[in-house]
Amino acid sequence: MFSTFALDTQVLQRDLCTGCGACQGLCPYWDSVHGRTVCYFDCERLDGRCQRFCPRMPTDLDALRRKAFPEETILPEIGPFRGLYLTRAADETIRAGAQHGGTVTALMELALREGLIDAALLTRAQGTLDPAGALVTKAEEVRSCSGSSFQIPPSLAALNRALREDRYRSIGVVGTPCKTLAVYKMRHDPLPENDNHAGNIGLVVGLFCGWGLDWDGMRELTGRYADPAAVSHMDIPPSKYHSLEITAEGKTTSVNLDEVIPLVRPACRACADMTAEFADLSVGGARSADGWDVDKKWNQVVVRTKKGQELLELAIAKGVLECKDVPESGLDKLKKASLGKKRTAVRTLREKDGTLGYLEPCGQMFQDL
Amino acid sequence: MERTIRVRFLHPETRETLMVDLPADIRIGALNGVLYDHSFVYPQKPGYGFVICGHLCGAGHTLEQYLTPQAGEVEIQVFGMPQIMV
Repeated sequence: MFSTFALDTQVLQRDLCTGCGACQGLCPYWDSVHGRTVCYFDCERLDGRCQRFCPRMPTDLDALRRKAFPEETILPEIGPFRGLYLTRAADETIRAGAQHGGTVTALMELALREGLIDAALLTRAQGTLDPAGALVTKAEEVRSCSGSSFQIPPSLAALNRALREDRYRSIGVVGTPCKTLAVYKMRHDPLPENDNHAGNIGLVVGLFCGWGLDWDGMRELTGRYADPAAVSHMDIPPSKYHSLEITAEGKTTSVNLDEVIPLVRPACRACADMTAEFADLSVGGARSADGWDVDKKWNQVVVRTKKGQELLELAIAKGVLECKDVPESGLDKLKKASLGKKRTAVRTLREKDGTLGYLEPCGQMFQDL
Repeated sequence: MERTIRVRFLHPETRETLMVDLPADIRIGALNGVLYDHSFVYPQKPGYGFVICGHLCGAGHTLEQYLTPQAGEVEIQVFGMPQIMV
């Protein structure tokens, strides 16, 4: 089946495109406009990298993770697991510009400084809006990409362009679950006759993700409460607050989540991965008994691979990261939240056509949900 | 065994349908003959395009190039305006 045709009919027309950019930066045909993936022209390649790497094309996730992770580390609820940590950057200046504890910024700076990676694929936003993929090569550049955006940019397009140049030998990638899944598809299911040098991806750091939001809708919503150009931070506190917090010029405004939910990208409701299960390390906002005021300056980190474990231990040993005890219920709460997202995805997909859609090749993973 | 696809053609003006079973490797350009044989459209020159899922199909392509390996049927719109296929 022609690749552009396959992606259009099986992903775009079914509202499954996350806008990750995995199909872009490879050829002249695919592009992104305001968070929407567009195809300028049909191409005649039958098994192109665009459809091979797309995280929403039918994929046997179970087979893919068995290729990438030791089976004994895999937990059904949250994927590969070697440990759960609560961490934050020791450097206060990193924390000041971070979404939560600044753990990812600190880790990527360290990985670049220590030569564990020679480039990092990050996301840089204007405030928190209109984000774009950014490839940085110096530790000093990482902080310009601190903080999160709820608009998902096609940052993997920048990764594909960097890989195509074959200049870097160990690129670190930071991304949401859809992006890290695409990266693992690139690494473990490449097209040898059309190589994109995915072996040069050296580290993957996943970001916990509930959903991304429509670009235009988000800009319009933000404009109702603040000057979009002045917004410095957005966050979604634990569910009991039912709000989106927008901070601009030092003032934080709480927006009822009911105004935000309609802006959730339909594709995100079909996503079964909250914790970025395909990664060396996965990082999200902390949840503990200390309450939101304390937790919002900490991260929780799931260690998934030996490489991730070594980087985290190095960061702690060098005093780059601070740790605190994980509450006993921490892992169970994480599993419960993760299962909640999987159930929503299964329900959403079944409502479309009665099948599990792109999850069908690994349907046994979801049959009890 | 030769793969067969059940094709439902949609007429561009009357919205009538024509259902036929065709070999999966039939060329898109050969579909004209099928339509003429069934008197579904009047023969025209120099030919019609066909639209599958919003995509104009290439006359030299085969039907199965527009289908998933599992697909057993497809709906094809006959393009409404006669045009030169290049």
